[in-house]
Amino acid sequence: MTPTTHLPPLSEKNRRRFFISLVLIFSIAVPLMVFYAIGYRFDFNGDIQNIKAVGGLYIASGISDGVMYVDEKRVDNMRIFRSAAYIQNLEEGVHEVHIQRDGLYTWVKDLPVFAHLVTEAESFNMPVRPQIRIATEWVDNAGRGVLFESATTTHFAFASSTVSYVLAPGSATTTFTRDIEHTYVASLFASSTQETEMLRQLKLLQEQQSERFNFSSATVTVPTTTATTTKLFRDSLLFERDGEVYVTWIGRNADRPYYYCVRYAGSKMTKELYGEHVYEQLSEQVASSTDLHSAALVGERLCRDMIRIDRLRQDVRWFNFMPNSEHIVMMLLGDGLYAVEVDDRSWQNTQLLYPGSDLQVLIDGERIYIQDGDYYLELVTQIAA
Amino acid sequence: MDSHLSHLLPYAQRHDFQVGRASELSGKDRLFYRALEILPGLASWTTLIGVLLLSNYAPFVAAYFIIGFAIFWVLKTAFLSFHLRHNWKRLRHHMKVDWELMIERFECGHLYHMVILPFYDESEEIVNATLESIANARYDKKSIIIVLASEDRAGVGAQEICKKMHEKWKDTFGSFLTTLHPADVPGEMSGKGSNASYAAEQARKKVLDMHGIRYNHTIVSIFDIDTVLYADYFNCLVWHFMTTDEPLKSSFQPVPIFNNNIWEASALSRVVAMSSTFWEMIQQERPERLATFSSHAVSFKALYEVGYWQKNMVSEDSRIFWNLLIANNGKYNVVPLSYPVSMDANAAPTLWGTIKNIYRQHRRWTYGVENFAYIIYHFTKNKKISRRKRVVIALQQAEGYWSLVTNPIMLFILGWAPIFLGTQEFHRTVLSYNLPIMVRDLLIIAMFGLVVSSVISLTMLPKRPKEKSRLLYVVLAVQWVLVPVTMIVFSALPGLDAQTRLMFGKYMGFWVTPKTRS
Repeated sequence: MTPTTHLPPLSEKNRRRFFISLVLIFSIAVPLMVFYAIGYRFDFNGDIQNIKAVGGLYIASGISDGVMYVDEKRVDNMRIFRSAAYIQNLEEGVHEVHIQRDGLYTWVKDLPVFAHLVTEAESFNMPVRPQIRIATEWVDNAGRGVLFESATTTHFAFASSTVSYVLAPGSATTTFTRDIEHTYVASLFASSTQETEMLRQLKLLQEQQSERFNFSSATVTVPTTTATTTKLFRDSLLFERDGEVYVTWIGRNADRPYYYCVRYAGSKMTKELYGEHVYEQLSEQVASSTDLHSAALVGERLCRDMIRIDRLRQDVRWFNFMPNSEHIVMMLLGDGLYAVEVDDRSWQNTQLLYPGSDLQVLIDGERIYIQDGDYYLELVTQIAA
Repeated sequence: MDSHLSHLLPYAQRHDFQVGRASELSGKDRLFYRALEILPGLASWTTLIGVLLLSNYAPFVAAYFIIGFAIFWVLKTAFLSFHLRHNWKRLRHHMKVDWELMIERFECGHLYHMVILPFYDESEEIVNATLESIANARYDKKSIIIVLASEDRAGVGAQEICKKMHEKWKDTFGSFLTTLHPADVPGEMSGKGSNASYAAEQARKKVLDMHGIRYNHTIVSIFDIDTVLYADYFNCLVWHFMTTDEPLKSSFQPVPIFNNNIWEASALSRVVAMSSTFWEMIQQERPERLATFSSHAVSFKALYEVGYWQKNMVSEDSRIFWNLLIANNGKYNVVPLSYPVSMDANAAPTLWGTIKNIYRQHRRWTYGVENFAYIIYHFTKNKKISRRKRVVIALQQAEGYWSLVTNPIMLFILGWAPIFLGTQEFHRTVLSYNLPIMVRDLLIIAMFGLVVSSVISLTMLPKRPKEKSRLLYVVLAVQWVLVPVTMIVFSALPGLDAQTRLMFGKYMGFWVTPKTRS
């Protein structure tokens, strides 16, 4: 039926009512949401229901399908920012974080959380079984690498190859062509060996001098760094001193990575939150006072100049930054090549990349090459899909 | 008093009544008007730069402001959706009403409708379609006076169209007048305002005076040339004219629906066109904020008393309302018809052409900010308008022009500024991490308003042409996700462009939107 009345516009009364309701909602919502945003939560579960202040964790991770546990509880409702997870609503104190995935080392860290603040960390999970690609001396007509059966069938049993090879009986090479990569890598290692030899000689000289002056009261000044033992990546400098490897920050103070700095919480609490080694390092750094507690204010942010890299009580034969990372250091120790995180809060995660006692390592661009006996191989830090 | 001004209302007889820009004034008035031209752009730029500086130097304060602003936006969306939904119901209802029956109870045989159709270089097909829709209207055609207003500067093509249309339609309507607005008249800006004013004056002399038609019995409907009428437009207009308290102190605003070519237009074009329609629908439920826009109607007497549309500025369609309000000492209003007229969505043959045309059209529309200086200037001069009314309108206008430009940019871009510009101390806080999450979540909630828009837009579509796939309905429903982009690119940026031009005295001219129909 055709209507024969017009429909009036919204009445002034209805519009005003609706407007006032929205003003009321706004007045209530703004303070509530601001309090929520800065980290206040109403505790519904506690014995006494009240408002508590919370903090959070922001964990960057190189793996997308890993599983995260905080205090041994699986975290499912985390917010994902690109390749990082933001875990909210954590109470003040130390929280243990695990990030794991099948086939990869588990990253574990105790991290302090403060009210209204977010603690950052960057996890890394390397393959438990080394992922390698052998740069063979010979390739077949299809461009596939050739391995000679007798020599290699058991040699790399502990590792997985990211590419397939042709296994050739015997050692006849007439049907194969020489691989240019092998020649190239061999030349890289040849020049590297010359440098290493020079370094070895220099070190030997230092040790002899050190022994010679042991009986003297004079202080020996050992060169802390040399051009060949110093590695620079972005604004992080990696160097050796007295057999220890350190990382220091040479960039703007404002850009200093989070793990250099700690929030001072009194001597006992600082040790509990970050580890005794961090506390001791801070104490040494406070030049004006022997007692850190009297020099620093609780809540003050204190930054260290350098961080020592864990060498697992072994001699360091070679070290460098992991390609494209200033947060992870590679260390060639007596029993293999390791990846060690720079972040030393609580401890440094150390993961074996490749076992072996007679290895040579070099980095060419973003590739990690290892010389293991007669073989040159590229180490891949991710599990091939 | 000059005799040629005697028909004007007392306030409209001032030399500065139809001022278009500061340079037309002198002395302190000129300085004051210039300051008012600068103010909107200055306020917008200050806000945008201020948010950036605040994000850099006081990120915590900026973050609290942004959270509050995001909540405000959600609630504003709810508020506008509330109005939109009601107007949609009203519009649908009014399209079903038998308005012919509704006006039977009135004695309205004395009323005449003068339809002014200014055009420039639009095609014969477009002009003819408009006239055809008027001819198809359910109203006594002998009471309709058509004034087809062409421009001399458009060349002989436009005059040819006038001739053809006159030949074709002269017997259909009570009167069919064609006018030719001369080019390069000193003191005039080329555009719709000067053409329409010239046409109205010609119609007064050649039709109204010649036939003794009283000005207060003549309702003028001025339409953009692409306007296509729905059958009961004139009946609906008469009903509102007869029932409103002061018909001679009122303008009448239909809802412009930009859907003539909606099936041919691109998604971008459709979203922008529908958004403009929705904004007008919302304004229909807020008459205190409603000004005339595009196609509208007004009594000839009221027009004559203020000297018709201004000839020296761009936004003559809204300016005429402010002329009338100020000349009538605040006792003038706009009556929302909640009845549609169809117009063309802005569509060019290519996507890039469409983008450029939409941007230019919206820059012209948002150049309506030139009204701000005019309103405030005359509010300080005409003390007969109540102080409350002047303050309320000034604040509403200031908020409108400011929010048009700043709100989308602040919400979709500057909302993240503290995260990128904030201090290290800020970056370590829970607030810094929660800010983007909360803003994003609040925007998602606000997007529910778009669901309402999507549903309403589907009900306002003209019949689907046979060659168009049914799947296009899905695209038409989903296209609303483009709104964040269109709000910035076709609302905030052209608005900021227009305000900046006005701020620096780079006054804009009238740009004619090209009309394309397949």
